[in-house]
Amino acid sequence: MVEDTRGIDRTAFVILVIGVAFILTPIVIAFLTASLSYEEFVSAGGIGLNVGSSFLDNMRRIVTETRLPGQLWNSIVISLLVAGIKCAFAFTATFALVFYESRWNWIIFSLTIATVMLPLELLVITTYQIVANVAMPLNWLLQITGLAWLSEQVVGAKHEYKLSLLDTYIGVALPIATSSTSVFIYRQFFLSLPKDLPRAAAMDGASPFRFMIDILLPLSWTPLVATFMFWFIGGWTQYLWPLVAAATPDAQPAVVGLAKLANTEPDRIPDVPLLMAGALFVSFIPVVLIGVMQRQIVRGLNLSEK
Amino acid sequence: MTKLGFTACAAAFLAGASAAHAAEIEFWYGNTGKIEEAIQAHCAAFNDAQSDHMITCVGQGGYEAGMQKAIAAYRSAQHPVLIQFFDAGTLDLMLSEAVVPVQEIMPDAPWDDYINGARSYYETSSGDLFSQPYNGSTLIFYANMEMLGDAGIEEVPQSWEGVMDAARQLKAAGVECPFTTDAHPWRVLEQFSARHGAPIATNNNGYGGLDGEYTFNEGPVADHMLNLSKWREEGLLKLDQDTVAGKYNAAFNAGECAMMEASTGSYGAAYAALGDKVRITMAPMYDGVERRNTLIGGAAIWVMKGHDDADYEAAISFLNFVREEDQQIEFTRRTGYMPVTKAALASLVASGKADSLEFATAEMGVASLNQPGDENSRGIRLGFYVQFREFFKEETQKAFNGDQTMQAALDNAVARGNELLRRFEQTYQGTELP
Amino acid sequence: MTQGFYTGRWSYWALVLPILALIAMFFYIPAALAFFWSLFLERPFGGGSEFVGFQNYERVLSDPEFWNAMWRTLTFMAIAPTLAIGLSLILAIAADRGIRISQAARNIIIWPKAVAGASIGVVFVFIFNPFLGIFAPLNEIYPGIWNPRIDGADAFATLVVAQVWNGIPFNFIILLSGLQAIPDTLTKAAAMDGSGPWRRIVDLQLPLLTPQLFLTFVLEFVGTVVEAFGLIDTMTQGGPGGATNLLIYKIYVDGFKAYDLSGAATQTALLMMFVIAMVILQFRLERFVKYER
Repeated sequence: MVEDTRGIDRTAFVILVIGVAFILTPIVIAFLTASLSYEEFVSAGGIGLNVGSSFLDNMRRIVTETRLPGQLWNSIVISLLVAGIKCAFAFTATFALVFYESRWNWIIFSLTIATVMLPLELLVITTYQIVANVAMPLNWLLQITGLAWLSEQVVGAKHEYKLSLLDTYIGVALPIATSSTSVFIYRQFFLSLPKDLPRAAAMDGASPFRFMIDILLPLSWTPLVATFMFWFIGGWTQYLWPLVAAATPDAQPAVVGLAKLANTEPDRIPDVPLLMAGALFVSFIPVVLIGVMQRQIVRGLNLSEK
Repeated sequence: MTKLGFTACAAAFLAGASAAHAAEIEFWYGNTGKIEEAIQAHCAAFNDAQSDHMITCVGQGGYEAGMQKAIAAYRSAQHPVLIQFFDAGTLDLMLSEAVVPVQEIMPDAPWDDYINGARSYYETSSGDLFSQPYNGSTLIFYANMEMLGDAGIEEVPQSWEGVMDAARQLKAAGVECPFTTDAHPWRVLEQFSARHGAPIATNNNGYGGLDGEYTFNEGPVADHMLNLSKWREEGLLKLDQDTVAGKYNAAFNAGECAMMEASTGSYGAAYAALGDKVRITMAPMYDGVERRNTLIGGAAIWVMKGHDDADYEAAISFLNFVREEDQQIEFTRRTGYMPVTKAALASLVASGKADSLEFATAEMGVASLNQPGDENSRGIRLGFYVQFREFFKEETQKAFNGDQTMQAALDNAVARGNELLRRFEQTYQGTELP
Repeated sequence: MTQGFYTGRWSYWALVLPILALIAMFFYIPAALAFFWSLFLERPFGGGSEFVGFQNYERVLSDPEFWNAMWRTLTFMAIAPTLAIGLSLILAIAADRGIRISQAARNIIIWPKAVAGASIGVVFVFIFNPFLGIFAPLNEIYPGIWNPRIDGADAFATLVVAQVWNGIPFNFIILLSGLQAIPDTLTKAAAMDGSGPWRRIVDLQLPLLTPQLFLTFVLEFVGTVVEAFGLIDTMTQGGPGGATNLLIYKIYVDGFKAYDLSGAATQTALLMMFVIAMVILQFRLERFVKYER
């Protein structure tokens, strides 16, 4: 095309530079501040452009003096659980919804998609009560059906089942994993596959289960990896739910630990360099993940058609 | 599934060890940092000192988080025998029907030995202790003698009038922050009204029944709050948000502010930062008002219902253990909290250590708590008080920021507080105040 | 709706049961429980809960603080998503030019997606510190001009900036991929008709981008109602004087710090109804979205 695009390209260039600067500024400030010692920071009296030499020392203190390393491990386990459960449950369910003939399909699809409407943060108060005793619904059921009364007559004592998942990895992860956006994404993907796929597999004598594992799973690798990464990061960045579901510091993920670290020493000017080092420490794994995997994530979430 | 869980592991561990001990119990506490270490040291010392019982102390990361977990645990009958909880939640726990009064399960303990301000806060209207005071603090006044001296002030002021005279002198000498507080209701409302013998609410701050009403929007508290906002405009007082350090005690410790009102528990950090420039005294009074006792801050240990006799035996044994004079003194040394029994204080004084750095606040604090009391300095017995504190902070903060007058802020806080009291009354309909 | 091929009933339920159990247990039961509690005055430790009908709703709906918090939530929802999407759109159109910096920009602008709101809060609270942060020099010249600890509007602005910083990456990626999906032939045809690059943005790209814009608005609106929690908790704790006390934070404080289970449940129920109504409204508006190309 012979078209004069210099004007618009120059504008685009300026816009992108400003955008990148906006994104990078907090990160750069975090790095600069994390390179200062506490004394340097206090005497500097504010944000400066000077680079200190204490970055490694602050990181060493994060690793040795705070609970963040252990909490980083908690984050990894919780995020893996969240991503794993979300992908596995959604994959099998979507397989059923797309490849099975059932009048329940529509209802189940609606029920799962509706979870997107209400984020977990909204339900924290009551979810907490359920996780504190996951047997609660069972007790209600026994009571309503009269079975509780029956067993009370037989055994002679009232029995209530109890199982608390507070402060456990699984208890933190399960409620986060309820949001079922994956069903939507997988469904889009399955529907784009050739319609004759299951028929062909059946002719080869493959059971539905075999078809799912041997044919569908390898085909779905791209969206699976993308959603897994996406939910891993989603689990990592959760805050409100882990804050309440994991009360003891040993069970909390790193993001919660970082926020708590900000309030540990109210008696002196906060150790901002240590906090900034902590923020970088906590964000390192997901940022690297998204940096390395961004192409796959974008492609797998079907966000780009090119 | 639960294999992954911490609690499950702890439970399994306990179950495995059960053969060796008569009873294992859990104690949930809220503190973190240095205080947490001291609590864990208590637990370890208890387990070492005897072999009949075994206590596991579980940190909850905060008083509120601990309470919330205790609520959920109690609802599903998985609650610990002992739980530490802070002053403001006293009435909520008293009426919860989830706790056993300590004086009921251990009638022979020396309850009369607890110092006045600590007793009255946690006792029933008939004078029985409901919970055992554990980590006790109270409000005192701090001055940076170097800054005062530079402005030509030799003595730490004892009265509010004196504080403001000193503040003006400091300001004239170029000190930007003469006096600082965070205006938290614990300081400016509860401790202030108690030692000035002024009520916060009718019914003796709720001790006389659930139908009380807040009244602090008139009288000494209101006058004081109006003064605070006047002093702030004059540049004599800085709140958290006005200080460079961002927090009143950090500002004092950094040498930004010359005087502050703070808990006895702040002494350790202040001394570490300023050395012997720090001088403390009892919290200031307005001239012409007779001094009453201040209230105990910190927390007490509560015994929860629904456990068997062996568990309670272990709990009693632990409560007796932490009351021992040596244990209290050691706890004071590590945390800056005060001894809560007269015997412990006497033994501290007798040992000659009371004047040393670690114990500097003990005598001063206990003296403040042990001032003669009256019906308005017993404590706070008001429902949903934790939520009320939030309301008070929000409304007065608006006044300090110039969005409304201080009088309007106090009126609003009273009105919103009264709504809370009415709802509390309705929630606990048919329940007697113990 | 399906290409249903298999018919086995047992295997069907075995496949869908895990997800159904999960959402029943940790989504539908908690949601129902919140509505249930909102009709009772619940004692924190149990042992007595009194049915009060809609009294909790009357109380909450007549409480000016609830409406203040709701109003702040609405204000936040009006400002933050608009900025987050508007700026993302401008950036995406710029990146779509395919100039040299585009690729680098794409790589960098996605980073904030991986940073938790609470971590951002810890960093931004320092950046906006009135005495130590980037506006400190301004305060030296005009004392008191910037102090989010005192001025509610300043505090609100810091929340918006942090939320926008966090919200740009996802919107940017969605919008950019939408732009790149516009066939070259269309662009070329428009160019042949003599419409210049600026014109084409308005006449061609924006109309074809409505599906992506719609998606980002739906996600942003629902997201901002709750995502601000991590920022508020680490930056302002709802202050000063309640100026940043959005409904989601108020519910947390009422429920978890003040043990007002009934009040918190009632506000949760109301907020749920609000969010559901909003999502439905948005999907009613979907009619105006062009999906065909």
